[in-house]
Amino acid sequence: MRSILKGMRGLVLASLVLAATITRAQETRPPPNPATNLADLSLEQLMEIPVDTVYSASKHKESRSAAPSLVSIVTAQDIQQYGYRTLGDILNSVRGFYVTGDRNYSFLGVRGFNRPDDYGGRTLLMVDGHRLNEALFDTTSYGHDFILDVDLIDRVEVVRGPGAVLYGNNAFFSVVNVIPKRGRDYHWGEVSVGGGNYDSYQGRFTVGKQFTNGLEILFSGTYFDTKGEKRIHYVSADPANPLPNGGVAENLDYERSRSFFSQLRYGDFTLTGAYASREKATSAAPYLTTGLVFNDPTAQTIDEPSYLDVVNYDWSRSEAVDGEVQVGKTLWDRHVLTAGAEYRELFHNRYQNEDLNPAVIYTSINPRQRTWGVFANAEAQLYRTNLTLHAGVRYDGFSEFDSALSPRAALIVRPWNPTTFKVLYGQAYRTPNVYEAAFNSVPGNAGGASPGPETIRTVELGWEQELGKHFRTTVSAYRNEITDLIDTELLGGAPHLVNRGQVESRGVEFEIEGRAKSRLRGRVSYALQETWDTATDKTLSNSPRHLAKFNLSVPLYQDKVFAGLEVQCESAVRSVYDTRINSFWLMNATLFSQKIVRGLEFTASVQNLFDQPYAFPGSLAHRQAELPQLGRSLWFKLTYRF
Amino acid sequence: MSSTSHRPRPGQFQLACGSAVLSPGGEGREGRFSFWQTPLGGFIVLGMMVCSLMGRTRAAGAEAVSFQEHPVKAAFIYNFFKFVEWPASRFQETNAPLLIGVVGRGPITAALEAAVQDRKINGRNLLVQAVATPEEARAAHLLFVAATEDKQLDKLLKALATSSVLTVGESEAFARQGGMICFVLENGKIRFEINMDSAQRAGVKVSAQLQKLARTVRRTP
Repeated sequence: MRSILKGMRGLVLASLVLAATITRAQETRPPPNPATNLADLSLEQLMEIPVDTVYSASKHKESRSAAPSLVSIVTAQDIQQYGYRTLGDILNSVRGFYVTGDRNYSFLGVRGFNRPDDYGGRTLLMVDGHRLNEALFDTTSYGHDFILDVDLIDRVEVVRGPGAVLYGNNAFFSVVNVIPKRGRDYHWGEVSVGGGNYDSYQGRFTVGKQFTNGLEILFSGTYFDTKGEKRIHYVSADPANPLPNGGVAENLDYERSRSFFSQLRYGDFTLTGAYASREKATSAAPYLTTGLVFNDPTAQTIDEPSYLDVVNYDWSRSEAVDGEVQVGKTLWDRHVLTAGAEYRELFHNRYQNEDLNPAVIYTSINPRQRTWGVFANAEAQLYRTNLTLHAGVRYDGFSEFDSALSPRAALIVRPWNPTTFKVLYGQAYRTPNVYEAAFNSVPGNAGGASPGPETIRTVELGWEQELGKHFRTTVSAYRNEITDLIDTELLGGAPHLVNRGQVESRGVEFEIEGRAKSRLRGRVSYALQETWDTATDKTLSNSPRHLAKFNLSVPLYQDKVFAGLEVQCESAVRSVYDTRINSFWLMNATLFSQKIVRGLEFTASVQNLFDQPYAFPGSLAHRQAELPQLGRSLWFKLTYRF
Repeated sequence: MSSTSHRPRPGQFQLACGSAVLSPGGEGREGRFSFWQTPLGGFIVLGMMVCSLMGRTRAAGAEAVSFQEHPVKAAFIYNFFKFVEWPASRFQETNAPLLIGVVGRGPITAALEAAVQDRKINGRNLLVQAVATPEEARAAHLLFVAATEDKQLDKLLKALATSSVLTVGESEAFARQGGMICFVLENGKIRFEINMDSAQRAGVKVSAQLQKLARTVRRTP
């Protein structure tokens, strides 16, 4: 209780700071005329107004307040002004989300759920509506292994709550749709070079153009290279069994990644190709086996068609084709019906674990899977635009699992103009991926039956309110019930995947956004959440009770120089080994300038400004309960457009 | 879609951790963190920094946190009238109103009505009318075609090609098929593109000032 009060105090204080700064910025001008409305603004001013349009919540364009979900949007402007370098940085700024990492992969936590070994199966990640979660591990990438350079992102839509009715598998906790820039956003080329401490470098070259016949082209390639921290000190969770080399991993934090994105658009035809590859040293030495030892200079993971040159290696390959049709129909000007069907065939899905010398294959599976789904969704305006009902249902069939039904209903009430209330109900399911289905039968693991699908039911109440001209608040309260959560546990010392009976969570979230005429803008959010296993009544691991975020962008000189400030606080969590990992707060600061020299942009940013020590929990595959994270990280970037 | 990855092998990670469960709570750790490292301390540091950063916040920009799309588009449309000239033959009387035709019903009509209420352009009132046929469309000075109406675009735009009607739309098909001003959403903000060829063919004069504000101007050299 004391910690809640403390959290609330911090929140109130932060809101006051935001309100005070924005109000003060206003005081220098005459008080606004109440009759002023949009039509009095000039075109230049109108072009500065952010509009809230979201696509992913209903698969058609609608305003944020009309969407049957509580939606956050991060734009290219946020990415520039807050100096975000990865998709993980972007999502970490969003209310109720927290990105953790094991010094190799990044993991997305949503509303108190961030399960160890969940490579992204519970959030559907899309680029322009194209599903990125693959079928073997459900992998989504939030670090430098993401398929798109963040500088190519136009906006990111974050849709909270189960989205299965429209998207099927994986749209469990949330749906994240990344909308890239297009050829028309470039005049020909853009070149960007960046560098920072830990011997980090990045380069990007982009060519984009829209021709007079309407044809748009975009090609972009990015290379990133870092040596990382020279020495990382880890502590074994079991004092009786310390890590070798005094727990120090030396020169094992390096990372190299390449990504390539291309797009051709002509009329209604769009062709997109994307590719990314990454090598990352595994300093934290997960998967401790006879083959992979701690502080082993050859230990790395490769996310690409390639191989790992160690004694024991495992590889996987996943290829899928999918097809989708969708129709929309507007009835009597007011009601929208959307229906669609989707078919996915995973025709090559191999996962293999073997010793090279002497050659022994431990596991080799190559299941051929098919899934199909049909859905229908109706939006009915019951009373003008003041009362809207969304109701939808989806039916999915799987070649390997029982079919599933996912309903969704939303009632959106707008009693008067700047106020919106939302009552939301949603259900989603997730089938175990190939890795999870095979996990228990792999030699060395505890054996037993494969886990079955998991289901979530969410009820949420939301209140979106505009306060005067400069502020907007969002308040929400939710409850999640997850049946048969797929989770790892130890069975006689060996790892084992099970369906946990029932896991529940509940929480409240608060956010205030402000924006002043001077381009000063900011946001404060706070989330209080609890997640627990109903069988043991114990809080889940890696589930912080409090999350607070603060963002402020201050224009220092016209629209040319901005200072971006970000603070993120996360309360203590429990590790998989039942130890406590301390709370922390981080500050990131960015100086961004543009238009001083024509075509040139300069960014200087610091992440973890005060070099705070902080750690994230590992999974059962790690011998250490907590994995310390990177200290102060500087980054300078120069971008030139021609 | 194809991807390949090397991942934790489910096999064999021998956790020499039968005794893995340590004393819960990790007691005594809290003391390591000082007040300034708590969330509250963080916000205080931040508040002080923000206050010191404040001071110079001039320059223009729009107010309000954010808007729905339609009122903003309606305000754009009202503004377009200031930068466009129609041939005199389009006005029978000196004070004849300017007609805004809307194809496709939806929130835009109400937004336009609110935007032009009690406003005049060169002494002329503005009127908003729903339009169903190409004949009705020809009567308008400015015709807005909603994105939902892509199916009848071809018919509409062909019928209006030489009618001195400024066409404004919001879909990609509209721009492609020769609509004159098309809204696009870029970085969460509304921009517009101008097709000067179509405007010239129709005898609608679009000022250089408006062309300068457009994100792209299509013109055959």
